[in-house]
Amino acid sequence: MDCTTVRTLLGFARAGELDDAERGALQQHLDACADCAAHSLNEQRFDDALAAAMPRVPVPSGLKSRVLIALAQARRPRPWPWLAAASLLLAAGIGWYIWQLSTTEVDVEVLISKVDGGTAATPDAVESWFSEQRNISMQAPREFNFELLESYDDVDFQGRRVPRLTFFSRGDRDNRASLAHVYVLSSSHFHLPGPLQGQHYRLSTATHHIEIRDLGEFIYLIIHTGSSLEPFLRRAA
Amino acid sequence: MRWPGTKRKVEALVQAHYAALYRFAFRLSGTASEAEDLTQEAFCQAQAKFGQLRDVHKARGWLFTILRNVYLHKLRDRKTANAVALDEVGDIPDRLPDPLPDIEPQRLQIALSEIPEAFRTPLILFYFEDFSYRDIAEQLEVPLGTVMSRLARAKAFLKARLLVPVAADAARGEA
Repeated sequence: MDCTTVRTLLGFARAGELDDAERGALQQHLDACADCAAHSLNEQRFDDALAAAMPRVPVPSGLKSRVLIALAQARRPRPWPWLAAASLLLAAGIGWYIWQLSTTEVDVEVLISKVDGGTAATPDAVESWFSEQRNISMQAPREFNFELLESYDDVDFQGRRVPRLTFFSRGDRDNRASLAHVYVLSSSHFHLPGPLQGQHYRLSTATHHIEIRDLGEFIYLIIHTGSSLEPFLRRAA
Repeated sequence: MRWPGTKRKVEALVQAHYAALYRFAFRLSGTASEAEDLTQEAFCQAQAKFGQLRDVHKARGWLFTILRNVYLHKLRDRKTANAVALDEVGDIPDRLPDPLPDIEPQRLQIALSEIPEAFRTPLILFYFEDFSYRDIAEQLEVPLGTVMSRLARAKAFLKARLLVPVAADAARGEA
C-alpha cells in the first residue's frame, strides 16, 4: 500500500467505512511510515476538534414549543382559499342573475304552440287561425297546394305584423326541393308602387325569386326558390 | 390530508430531532433567527408530505434533506458574495500544535460562511451528524467521489482558516 492510497483511506477510516482487512493494511503502513503516521495524527486531531466544535450551537429555549405551534397552525384549514372560492361563487351567482334578467327565458309552450299553429292544412283553417290567434283578417292564397304548407305565423314587415305562409315542395321539374314564403299584406296598410305590379324579381343570390300578386283587398309578396311557383300550386282536378 | 395519525408522528419527530435540525440550520445559515425559521419551515414541510417518508428509520436524513432544500430555496435569491474559491487556501503546517486548542465556535461559523454551500453541507453533515459518505452522497444526490473531494477541499480550507494562526502563535512561543 503506497502513501497516496493510505491518505485516501484515512478519510474512509474516519467515516468507519473500511473492512477489517483494509484497516489492518492501513495500520501496518502507518506503523512503518512516519510521515503517514504524522499525517494521520494531524488529521485525527483536527477531525476531533472539528467534530467537537461543530455541534456547539446553543439551542434557543422554547424552540420546540414554537415548532409545535407552527405545525398546529399549518394543520388548521386556511380560511382564505374557502373565502376566495365563496367570493367567486357569489360573484358568479350575481352575474348569472343579472344576465338572466337581461335575457328572455325560453318557454317551451310557445315553441309547441308555434309548431301546432302550422298543422292546419286548409285555407279556411289558416284564415280562422290568424283571425282567432292573431286577430288578423287575411285571405289565404287558395291557388297554392295547402298539402305543401309547412308553417305559418305573423312576422314583422315594415313595422307591421303580417301573415306569412311557408310552403315546401319536395321536387319541381328539376327534381329539386324548394321553398316559397307568401306574405299576405292588407291593402288597407300597404300599397304597391305602379311598376311592381305583376313583376318577377330575381335576387342577387340567383337562387330566390320574388313574385307579387295584387288581389285588391290583399297583396301577396311571394319569395321562392326553384325556377317557378308551379310546384307549389294546386293542380287542376 | 387527515391529520390525527400524522400529527402524533410528526410531533415525535420534532421531539427527537428539533435540536439537531436547528444546529444544522445554524451552521448552514450562520444566524439564530434564520436557523429557527428554517427549522420551523422544514418541520412544516415534513408534516405536509409525511406520506413520502417510507422508512421511519431514515427520518433524520429525510428531515436534513428537507431543511437543506428549504435553505437552498431561500438562498437562490440571495447574493453569495462572501463565498470564496476553495483554492485560495494558504499554507498548512505539517505539524499542528499539541495539544490542539479548541476551535472557537464563532470562528468556525465565520469560516463556514465563507465556504460555498456545495462544500459546506457535506462538511457539516460529516462532522456534525456523523453521516457516512454514502449517506451524504445519497442526500446530496452526488457521486461518492464528489463527496470525498468536496470534504477534503472544505476541510483543507477550514484547517488553513482555523489553525494556521494557532500554529503560527505556537511557533512564535517556541522561538
